[in-house]
Amino acid sequence: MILTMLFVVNPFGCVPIFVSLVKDFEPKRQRFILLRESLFGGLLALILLWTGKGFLESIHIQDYAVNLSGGILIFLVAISMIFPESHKAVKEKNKDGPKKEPFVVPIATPLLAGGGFFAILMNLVNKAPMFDVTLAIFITWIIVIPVAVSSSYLQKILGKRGLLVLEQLMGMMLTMLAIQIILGGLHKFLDQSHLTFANLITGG
Amino acid sequence: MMSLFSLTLTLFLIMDPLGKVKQFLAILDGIPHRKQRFVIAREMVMALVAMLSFSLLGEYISAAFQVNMTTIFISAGVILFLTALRILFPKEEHVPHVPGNEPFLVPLAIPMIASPALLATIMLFSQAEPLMWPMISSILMAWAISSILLIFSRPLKRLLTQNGLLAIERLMGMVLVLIAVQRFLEGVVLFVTEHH
Repeated sequence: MILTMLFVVNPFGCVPIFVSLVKDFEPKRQRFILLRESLFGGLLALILLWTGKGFLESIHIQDYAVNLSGGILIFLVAISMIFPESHKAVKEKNKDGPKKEPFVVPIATPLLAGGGFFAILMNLVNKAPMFDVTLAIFITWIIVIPVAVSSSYLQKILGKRGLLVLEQLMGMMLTMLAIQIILGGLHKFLDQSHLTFANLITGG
Repeated sequence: MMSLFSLTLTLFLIMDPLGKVKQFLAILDGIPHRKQRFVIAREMVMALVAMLSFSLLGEYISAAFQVNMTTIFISAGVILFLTALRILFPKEEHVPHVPGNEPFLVPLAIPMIASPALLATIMLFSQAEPLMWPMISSILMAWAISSILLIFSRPLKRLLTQNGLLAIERLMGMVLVLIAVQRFLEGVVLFVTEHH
């Protein structure tokens, strides 16, 4: 169970993404942001586990919508990594006020506790008692938090140029991840609404 | 068809009073505290009038513009989605321009509470619901809860702190994206079945 969760949350894979997202801050601040965000993610995972299903059912949201929304948001983050705002615009912005920190979005959700994680949770709840799943979330997050926080050290190893390259590559990988999630959601959507792909294209 | 509870909850989430506390306080900044509550109450009543009229006249409005249900589903989804994106990825700290000294109708009642996304959703639900009363009563309930929360926005901000409010705002943004995507896809299903 813990392995499944770790696989879905994928903290190791997310390390380079985290680095690119917080690269504009002081190392100390980076660790603080990552710690805060991963704690938020854990909290959100627990909230999702305990109230998620009932909440979504009561506002009539199907699980394909969960996948698609997560995928779309990750896609938008990925695009902003591949095509960052021009240097000048960023500098002008920084003069006006504090730099924009990632807050809840996108690290805590949808990257850590997102649609995929929610799907796994719903799956596990049907198989195992609530207490076990809760415990599994705790243990998973005991691994996730140090990994996330230590990702700020990766920046030192990579240097400035390395980071720029990394951001582009991670943007690309994240785009693929996003498309994969979106396609998964579309599959679910088509299954559940009894539409076929041919129907969608030809309307026939 | 949705239950009364689902309708109320959905409308309340789209009204998103907790996510708007910060902006409300920013706009009302120059007004004496005692008068603020009065202004908020007045704006909420105006928003309610807008909501109810869209609920009651929605059918005629869509007939006048010759738009069908599919269109309303999809456009409600799109408007809501773009609204949610603004919340999740804010462009800048944006305080809406207030014409005159005191906000009157604009920007608190419309577009902040009775937002295009909310009005489109109300139009949609009113036409999907066969009966009028569930819709009216869920609008009233969602509105009443939002009004109470917003009238107490100052103590709420103290209670939840700046960061608490921001976290709620972001989570609400996520929920709104979910609702938006769901609406959009329902529209797609409707479109395909219509086409058969």
